[in-house]
Formats: sequence, C-alpha cells, structure tokens
Amino acid sequence: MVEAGLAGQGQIVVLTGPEGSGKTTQGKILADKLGFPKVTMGDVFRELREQNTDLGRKSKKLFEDHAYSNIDLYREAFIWRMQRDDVKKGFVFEGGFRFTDEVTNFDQLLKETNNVMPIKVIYLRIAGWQGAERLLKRGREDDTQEGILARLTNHYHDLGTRMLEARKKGPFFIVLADNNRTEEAISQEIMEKIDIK
Amino acid sequence: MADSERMGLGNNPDGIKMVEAKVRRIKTEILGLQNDLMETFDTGERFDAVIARLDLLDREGTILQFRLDKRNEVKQNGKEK
Repeated sequence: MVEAGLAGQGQIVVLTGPEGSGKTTQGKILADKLGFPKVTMGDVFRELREQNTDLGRKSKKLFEDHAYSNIDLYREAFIWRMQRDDVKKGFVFEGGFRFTDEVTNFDQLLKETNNVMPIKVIYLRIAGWQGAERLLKRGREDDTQEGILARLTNHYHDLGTRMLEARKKGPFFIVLADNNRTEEAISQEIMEKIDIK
Repeated sequence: MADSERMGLGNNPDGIKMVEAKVRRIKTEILGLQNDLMETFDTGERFDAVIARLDLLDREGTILQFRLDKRNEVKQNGKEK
C-alpha cells in the first residue's frame, strides 16, 4: 500500500466499475468537488492519436482496430499523461483498473513518473440490465446489445482478482449505483467514503 | 412465426410469463448478491463464489431483458401499424 504524504497532499481517486455504472458522470462531479483533473485513458489515447509520433500512430491504430490497449502501450500512454503538472496534486482516475496488469503495475507507473500519492478506489456497482439500459439510451455507435454484452463479459474477467489487487493499493469502497438512486445521493456517498477534506 | 417465438420466448403467452418471472427472480437474487458482495469482500469468504454468481446472473438477466424489450418493441410497432 502506498504511504500517505509522499507527494505532499496529493490524492488519487480511482473510479472503476462496469460500463453504464455512471463513472463518467460521477468522475466529473468528483473532479469538480475536489478541484482535481479527471484522467481517463480513453481521452489520453484520443489526444495521442492526433499526434504525429510513434505513440500517436500506435494510439490511432488502437482506434482503427477497435482493440484494447496492451500493457506496454498503456504504460507509454499513462507515463505520457503523468508528465503534466496538473496531476501532481492529485487526480480522479476515471475508468481505471480495467485489467489486472494495469492494477498490479499502477504503483510502479506512479513511481516512474514521480507521482506517488495515496490512492482510494471506488467500485461503482450496477446490475447488468440497468447498465445496459443507460448505455442504450446514450446511443453511442458501439452501444449495441452485442457490444454491451461483450463488454459486460470483459468486465467480469478476473474481476475478483482485480478487486483484491486494487484493495492492496489503498482503501477500497463499493458504492451501489442503482437506477433508483440519484446522482447526488451516489456522489454524496462517494465523498463520504473517500473522506478527502 | 409469432413475435414471441421469433424473440426466442416461445409461441405461448405462458412461456413469456415464465421468462418474465425468471427475469424477476434473477433481479431479486442480484439485489441480494450485491449486499453479499460487500460483505464477502470484507471477510474474503465466498467472495469468488459471489462474483461468479453475479457474473452469470448479470449476463443472463441482461440477455433475457433484451429479449423482452425487443418483444415489447415489436408488439408496440405492430400496434402502431
């Protein structure tokens, strides 16, 4: 577990969970409340693909192939993003911890970029059909029934291992993000759980 | 072929009711398992079993719900015509 105080008062809050659980919405709210930037690897790769560099070309290919990043490309992209000053006092890592290598390598990546800070992890839990309902309303091109089911299957792959590995990084909380709860209620619970003043 | 049959729900209103009942049972069990998830994550006991059951039920419940939604959509479109 990373010890507190290694990089001043910085904090990293990882928001993880299945698709449709409200990570993007809660990530925005949380980042606003904490005054932290919100980092998502999807945005990082989207920004990189516009650049005429080796990393940019690899990122572009990722989108063209509709592929998931491997740990090597992930590492390069993450380190690239962590060089910026805006994350030095903490950040909300929205949609992080999607695969086991990412979780196990996280401490090392923070060390390499001189961003070692205390980590808190929030797992937003939503039932499959409720998440699917939200995604279908969103209406993105890849939000087909087949696509949603494939992503749900991916989410469950090694989920137990990932959750237990994530708990080694710092306090880990499960928050129910059911459709019968308001965004405000969920946000309030997250703030209470992470207890960052 | 009847709508219900095309959606894999059987050409029989009783069959559809059975699927709807199954979806309800799955949803109820999932709600209970979500509490178990939090408890077993803290204790470690049965945690893997709870995740495995949630995985199964989440996918099955979602697939069945998709089929019911599709059937309702087909029915609705039929009425509109």
